[in-house]
Amino acid sequence: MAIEQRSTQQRPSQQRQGDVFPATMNSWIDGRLQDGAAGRQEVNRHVMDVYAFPLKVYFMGTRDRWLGEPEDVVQGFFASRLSKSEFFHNWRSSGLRLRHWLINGFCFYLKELRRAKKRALPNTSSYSDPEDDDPGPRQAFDRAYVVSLVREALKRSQSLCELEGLTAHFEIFVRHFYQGQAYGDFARDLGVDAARAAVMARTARTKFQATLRGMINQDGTGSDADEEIRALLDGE
Amino acid sequence: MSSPMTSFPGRDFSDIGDEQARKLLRLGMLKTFRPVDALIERLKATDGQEWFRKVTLAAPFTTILGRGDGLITGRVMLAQLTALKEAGKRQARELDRNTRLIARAAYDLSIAAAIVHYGQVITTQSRTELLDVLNDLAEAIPEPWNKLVTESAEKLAMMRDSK
Repeated sequence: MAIEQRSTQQRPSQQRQGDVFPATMNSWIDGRLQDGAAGRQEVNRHVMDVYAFPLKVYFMGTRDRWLGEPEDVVQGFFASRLSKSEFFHNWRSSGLRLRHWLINGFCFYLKELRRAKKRALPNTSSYSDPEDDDPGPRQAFDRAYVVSLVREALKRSQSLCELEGLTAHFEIFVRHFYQGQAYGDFARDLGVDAARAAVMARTARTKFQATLRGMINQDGTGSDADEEIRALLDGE
Repeated sequence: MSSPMTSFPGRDFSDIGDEQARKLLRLGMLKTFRPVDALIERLKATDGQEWFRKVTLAAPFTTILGRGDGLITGRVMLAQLTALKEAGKRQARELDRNTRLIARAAYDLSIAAAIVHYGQVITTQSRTELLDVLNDLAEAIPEPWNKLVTESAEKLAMMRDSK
């Protein structure tokens, strides 16, 4: 499956500001899937960028670690599921958030791996199916999803700001909101006063916010992005 | 002022932690309708500037300061500013919308004046939220109050964030 090639076409979070809020990622996914192989690759890349890390964290929290290296197992899951033409159609039919659809699929994939190992090594007692009632890995997945989502949104909004000549704006945004520095402590180093720095940071923050909301809409089920954020913060 | 730098190395943000991510996630929420937004909306109405001229001639400005323009001139004590802010908070519970809007103006302008004239932040709001409020209010409020609020935002931006 050729899922490594990065398309040059803009993702929704890289569209111009005015285009970002109306378009949900669901419609973006639908649109890209109608564009054939190139669109499919773009969707797959997006899913891998955001979900590889939380799936690895989930895997490392389970008793299935013996199945293989986290990177290999997660890439195996992507190769197995993202190559199926009905994968995203079934997700839309499920009504689930994409992250819940993926984690369910990943659990089934791990079960398949366990059974394959059992068949290969039938006399090994430790290969019994683990119990599924431990919430720890799922909670770790949710936390890792937030980290991955925000990290990807930062990277994409950084690229967007660079494209639009707002590199300094983004730098100030990072210094203040990411690194927690007061404007007055660093603004002059960047050739602006503190008040101007605050205004510049707001511009970059708007880009980050639009990018993040665009990505969250993809994972939702048509609900408002604010509700999704609240659910993530509440650990739902 | 020299030109801002325009080139910075790209980051991969691989060092981001759980709490940092949650804090940034909150930035994704669209601004909820803050109490100050009702005041800003009123100020931006066609008769907003006319309306505001009467604001500082009403309670709680008159009851605490006598004349509201002490907020601009600085002929006001810090204790009076704190009292005005608290009176604004109390008055904001009134049923009449206009009375509540005046209360909100008293609240925000007392905070702005305390920053400008005394370098004191007399509210427990986070600096980031307060900076947003002051910047947004500065865009809506007429002169000479605009100058006071703008200056307060500039001074606040210079202060070290204690939260």
